[in-house]
This record gives sequence, C-alpha cells and structure tokens, in this order.
Amino acid sequence: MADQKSDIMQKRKAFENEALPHMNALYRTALRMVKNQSDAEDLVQEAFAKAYRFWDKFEPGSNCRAWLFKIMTNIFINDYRSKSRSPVSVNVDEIDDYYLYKQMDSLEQDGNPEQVLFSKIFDDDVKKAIEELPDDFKMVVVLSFLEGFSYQEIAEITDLQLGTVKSRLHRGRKLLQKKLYDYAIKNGYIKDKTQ
Amino acid sequence: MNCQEVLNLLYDIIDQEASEIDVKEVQEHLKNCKDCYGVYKVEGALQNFITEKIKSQNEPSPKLESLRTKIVEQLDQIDCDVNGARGSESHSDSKRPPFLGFTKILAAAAAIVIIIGAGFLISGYFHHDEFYIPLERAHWNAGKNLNPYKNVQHLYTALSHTANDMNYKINQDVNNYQLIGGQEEEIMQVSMTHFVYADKTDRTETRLVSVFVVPAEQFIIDDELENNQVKIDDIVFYDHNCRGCRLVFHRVGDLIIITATTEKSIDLLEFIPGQQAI
Repeated sequence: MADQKSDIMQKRKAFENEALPHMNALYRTALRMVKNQSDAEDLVQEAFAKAYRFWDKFEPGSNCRAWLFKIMTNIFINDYRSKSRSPVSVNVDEIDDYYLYKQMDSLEQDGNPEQVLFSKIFDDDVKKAIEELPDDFKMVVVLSFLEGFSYQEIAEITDLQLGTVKSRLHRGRKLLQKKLYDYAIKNGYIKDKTQ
Repeated sequence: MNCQEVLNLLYDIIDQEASEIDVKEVQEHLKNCKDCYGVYKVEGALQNFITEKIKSQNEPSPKLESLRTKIVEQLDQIDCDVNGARGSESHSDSKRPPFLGFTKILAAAAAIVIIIGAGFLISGYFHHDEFYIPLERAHWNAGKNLNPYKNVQHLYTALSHTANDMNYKINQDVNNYQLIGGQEEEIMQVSMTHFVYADKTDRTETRLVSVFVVPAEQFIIDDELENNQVKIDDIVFYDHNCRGCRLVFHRVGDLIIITATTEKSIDLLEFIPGQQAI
C-alpha cells in the first residue's frame, strides 16, 4: 500500500510537470473549437482528467503537447462536434482557388491591394470567420494556424490521413478567404467594381 | 518547374512543409513569373494576417488560474478514487487496521483496535474535497515553499501563541525530526498554527511533517471523521489517508492537533503524544 501511494505521488508530480504546462494552449484552442467559454473549460477539464487516467499510456520523452491535443480533439469529435454541427452554407468547391488574389483586380483602391483589404477587416471578423467554419475544417485550421502543428502531427492528433488534413486545410482556407472578403465588402470600406 | 507545379506547392511552402530544394526552385520561378508571384504574395500576406489575429486573442490570466485550480482539484479527486478503491481492496482481504504504515501501531498490533467505520471509503468521497484537501494542500504548499515558515519572527510568534494562548507546547525535536518553521494560517476559515518538521538527515519535500494546532471549539470532528476513529490504549485518533497524504487528528484538552505527512514511514503519533500538553 505504501508503494502504491508513492507511485501516485510520482505520477502526480510527473503529470503536473509535463502535462499541466500545456493547459493554456489547450484552452485557447478549445475556445476556438467550441461555442462558448464554459464549454471550452469543460472540454479542457475533461481532456486533463482523461490524460491523467491514461498517463501510464504516455511514452516519456515523446511529444506530450501533441498527445494532449489528441485526447482533447477526440473528446471534441465525440462529444462536442455533433452538438454544434452546422450545415455548410457555402459549397466550398465552388469557391475559386486563390480567391482573394482573383478579387484584387476588381477592387477600387490605391496602394498595396491586400494590405488595404486587410486593414478593413476587423479582429472580430477574423474571429467570426473561424467560428463559422464547419467543425471538420475548423479543427485542422486551428491546429495549424494557432498551434503551428505540422501536417503529420495534425494527422496523428485527428486520426486523419495526411491527404485529408491537407485537403481540409486547403478548403478551410478558401472558406476563410471568401468570408473575410465578404466582411470587408459588408463593412463598406472597399467597393467591388462589379457590384 | 512550371506555374502549376509552383502553385501546387503554395500551401506546403506557407506552412513550412516543403523541402529545401522545392523552396529554392519556387523562389527561382517567382523571380520571373508575375502571376505566380502575385498569388504567393497575397496568400502569404493573408496567412500572416490571419495567424496574427488568431494568436492575438489571448485569455485573461485570472481565467486561466481558476481553470488550473479546477483541474488540480479534479486530479485530487482521481487520486482519491484510486486510493479509495485500493483501500477497500486491502480491507476486504484481511482484518488488518488501516494503520499499516505506522511502525508504532505495528508494534502495538496486539492491542485491540476498534475501527468503527469502513463506510468512509464510500461516503468519504464528497466529504474529502472540503475537509481534507485544504489541510493536505497546506502541507503540500509548505513542501513547495518553506521560506515563509522559516521566518524566525513567524515561528517565534507561532510558538509563543501555542504556549501562552493555547496552552500547548511544541517540541523542537521529535525523534529524527526537527522543527524548522511555523506560522499562523487561515485554513477553511479557521485560524490554525502550522508547524513544519523536517528530517534532520533528508530534507526533501516528502520527508516533512506538518502539525496544525487549532482550538477544538473551532474545528468540529464531524460524523465522517468520527467514523475513522481508532482507539489504542484509551487514546483516540482519527485517521484519514488519501492521495498519498496521511492526516491524523487528535484531541488534546481544548485543542485539536492535526498531523500531516506524505511520507508513509513516518510515525505521526510521535508528534502528538498527550504528555506534550502543558
């Protein structure tokens, strides 16, 4: 019994040293994956509880951050995604590749076109554009853009094929471009000559 | 590379997934191709723009701090579950008292030990959070940072307070352990005097003993704790053992003396013999 207790203490110490420091990263990602703060907190808490229960499955020396994200993403897919799944309002495949680049010519403005365009997009627009991405795209976009995970890491975290990761990232980007462009137009600061 | 090949590599390059050779070839191509250069420029700028925006939305630290606390409490509970489950296993296979770690108790094994409650293993789960964890945490905190306890003025005040006001004298040495610090602390809204002993030969954080002194009127031995009562030679103790931390409660006159340690081999009873009371 005595040995078991010191086992628990050692496990706890290792977990607090190796896993807990990644909490901020998990939380900021969770906030962007789910709809509200309280869901994000629940998600992160569930992830840490599960990680702690399965701590003996973690290989010391391997990438703890990616391991934690895998656990959290798994919970997200199983328990959170279905609740908040929204139908894709835009058919991604109808959006041109390099959408923004192709709109540049039709913009009425002076100076560096993309910088002018970006200056008309508010912080909240970017936030909203990401929030509105379908969950499948949002997951890979956030893992890549916010957390800087490599394609391979994202494939392992999400249990997807490498090709699927790349294609979802690509389509997520197209959707983002379209949404951001629409916001800029809606904000009224730039005008589309064709309209 | 032709334009199509260059454009196919666009996102690999933006995401820093392309090989060095590819990067070089693309760079060469962009020098001479205005169209491809335009695409790369806009896509690259967009990537920087979005990444910067998405990363700048940071969370306020109080929010993170409270989340951390919630997670740590959750870990406490998991540890406790594991311990509780193991405790009940060892209970069922023999009639041994739950005091196995105590050398002194082992020696006194012939003495009649009355264990009133085994029910605490089930019911204690909810009770644990509000009652034991604050004490355990106070003990752990001392292990993490001993400096406040080592403050001579704090220790002196704490010692004279227990001696004069509480009528209880703290020993400087208990066997191999030495009093190294102490201070007044508010735990569960009750003001307690918290003394810390360290092993003279091994001063690591696990080989510490905390002794909390608190007036009995302010600290209620409730039913749950009462269930853990153990009686040896007419001396009554209340034992709680969880998450690798053992707590022993003992009444001395008008005081409750609580000892805590994470080191199982330490005989906590040495720290609370009745004769220590003045």
